[in-house]
Amino acid sequence: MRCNKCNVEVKCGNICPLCHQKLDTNEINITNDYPPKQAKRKLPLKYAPKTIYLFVAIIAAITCIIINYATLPNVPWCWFVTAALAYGYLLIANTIYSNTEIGAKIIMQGASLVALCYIYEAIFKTSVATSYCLPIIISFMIIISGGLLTLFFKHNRSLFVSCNLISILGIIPIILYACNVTNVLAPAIVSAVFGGITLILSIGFGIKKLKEQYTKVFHM
Amino acid sequence: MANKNWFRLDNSAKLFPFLTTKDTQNLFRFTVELSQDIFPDKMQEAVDKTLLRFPSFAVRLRRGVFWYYLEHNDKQLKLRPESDIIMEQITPHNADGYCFRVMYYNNRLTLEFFHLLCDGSGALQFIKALLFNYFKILGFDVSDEGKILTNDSPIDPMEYEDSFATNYKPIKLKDLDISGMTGSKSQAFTLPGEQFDHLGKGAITADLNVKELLGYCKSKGYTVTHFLGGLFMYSIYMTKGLEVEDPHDITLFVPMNIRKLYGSKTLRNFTLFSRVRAKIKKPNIPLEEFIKTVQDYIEHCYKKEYLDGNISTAMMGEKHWLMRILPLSVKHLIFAIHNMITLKKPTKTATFSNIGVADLPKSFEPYVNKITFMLHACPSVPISFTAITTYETLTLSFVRLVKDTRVEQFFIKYLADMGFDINVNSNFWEVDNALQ
Repeated sequence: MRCNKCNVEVKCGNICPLCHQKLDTNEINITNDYPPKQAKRKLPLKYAPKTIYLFVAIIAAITCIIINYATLPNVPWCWFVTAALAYGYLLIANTIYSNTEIGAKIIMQGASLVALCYIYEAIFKTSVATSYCLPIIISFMIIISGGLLTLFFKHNRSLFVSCNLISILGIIPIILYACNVTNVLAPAIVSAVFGGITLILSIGFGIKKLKEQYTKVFHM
Repeated sequence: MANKNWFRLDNSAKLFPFLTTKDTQNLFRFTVELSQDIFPDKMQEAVDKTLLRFPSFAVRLRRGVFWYYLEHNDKQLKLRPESDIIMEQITPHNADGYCFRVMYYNNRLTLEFFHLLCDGSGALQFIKALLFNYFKILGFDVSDEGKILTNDSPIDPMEYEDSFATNYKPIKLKDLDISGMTGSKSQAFTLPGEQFDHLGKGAITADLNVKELLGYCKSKGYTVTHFLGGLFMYSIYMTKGLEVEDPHDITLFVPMNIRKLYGSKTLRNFTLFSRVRAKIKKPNIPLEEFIKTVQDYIEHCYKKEYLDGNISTAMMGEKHWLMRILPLSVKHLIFAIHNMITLKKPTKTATFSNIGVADLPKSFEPYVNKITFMLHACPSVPISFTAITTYETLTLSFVRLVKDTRVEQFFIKYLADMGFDINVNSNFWEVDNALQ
């Protein structure tokens, strides 16, 4: 088919791709080089869920700070709420809507949960963060990363490095106990045992692979 | 070396993950039109076989602490039916973890690549090997004629070297020419016009005889690249530039394959850019002036001394101690701020890439009609223009995000009025019922 206005041959379609004028054609079967168009798909959201959350969280945090200092200034609970809202942002931006490596997500989640516990302790004057929360969170991090590494070792070897680093973190609670920062021994032993076992297994079974992974992940 | 299972990103690839946003990803696309419909199972077999010969393509992108890197991907790259959306973002989830995808539709084989994997020349080598394997599986009488990296040929480590690093000559910080290389200081003319309010891009292709065009260009003393680049700028000026009061300069980004100049065999990125700028504030600028501008800029840039400086500047960005020790997330933050600024003040109007001759073996001619090459467009640079030659057919492609097609219409009609016989095709993204 020819478009006389544009002076070109038109390969497909019943209109000219350049001027969009209808072509004089009696052809019933119009050949089609491109796949048929599906229903129009919407553009990605202008504001991502994490941006919307951040906006709502900032308003909520400011409201809490005002209410707290207007009603109960001696107990600054608003800072714990603010920290929890910040944790929510991290959960959405870094964990749910992110392509970050799973190992980095575990480390980030663990670190922010520990931080949240220490903020709680500072505000409400408790003593559970170092004694219980820290070793329990680290133990969970070791179990999750170790489990995922065992399951997905073939497809995700970079998890090797994260798991190794998390295992090393397992000895922190026992060091804190040794330094008299805490006097609760059982959770610290549990986290050190988990960390030690994972460390020994990963070094024992794959020191060569582990070295290679460290080179990849830390190359500068 | 064939079992190398991870690669550092090459110098220019290091940038691409940071420049990727929710609506921008540096992608390019090749479509091979075969003379008969594709057998998907045979093509899948060919894809599997070809990936064994190209270790730098059989990879997935991974995050390191300081830089991204490419790691061997064990998964099978599945051949998929072609999507109606041109150059949809490649994510770890929609391409089996690979940085490119392979699709088919009737007799069309389409490959879309994320630029961090390779440039057009590297991708073309992969495609030629893929076609060779496919034709061999089908039992066609084809030979490589020394133009194809067949599975029997040994893998040369030079194929996956970072040629920027190989050709880097250390220079002093004061000798760096960052603004000359990035052009970040001067805002470019941006194509006005309503953009698509849904996913996808408009694509128009035009086929013409390359010998006729080459003959015309030779008679005028231009190369095909100078002429096409000049005519493209002229089309933008005539259709859009004249409508705007006090327009910025039209800035055309022209990639230059510098392999020949440096004797590189790499299949990864080894391309630098010429940034052609033309002032369009005065009226009645003739086509010849635009062609001359393109010619001058490209000739100025395609010189070893100039390119040496650019390579050194680019490499210094990577080798500087501060860039090396900054964690990846901090680098992302810096680039996010940079992207926000450049989105408001784009420094290029469009990209024009002439990849040259596809250089297929003669024995492929009965089975391959033509190859089409396309580049991505994004909201701040909403049009790209590319050219590729297959045997005697020159295929020009325009990819755009703006709805109207006046630039393409002006360009193609200008060529047609010069007497060239042109065949036009489109995906008609801007209309609903053209293909019914």
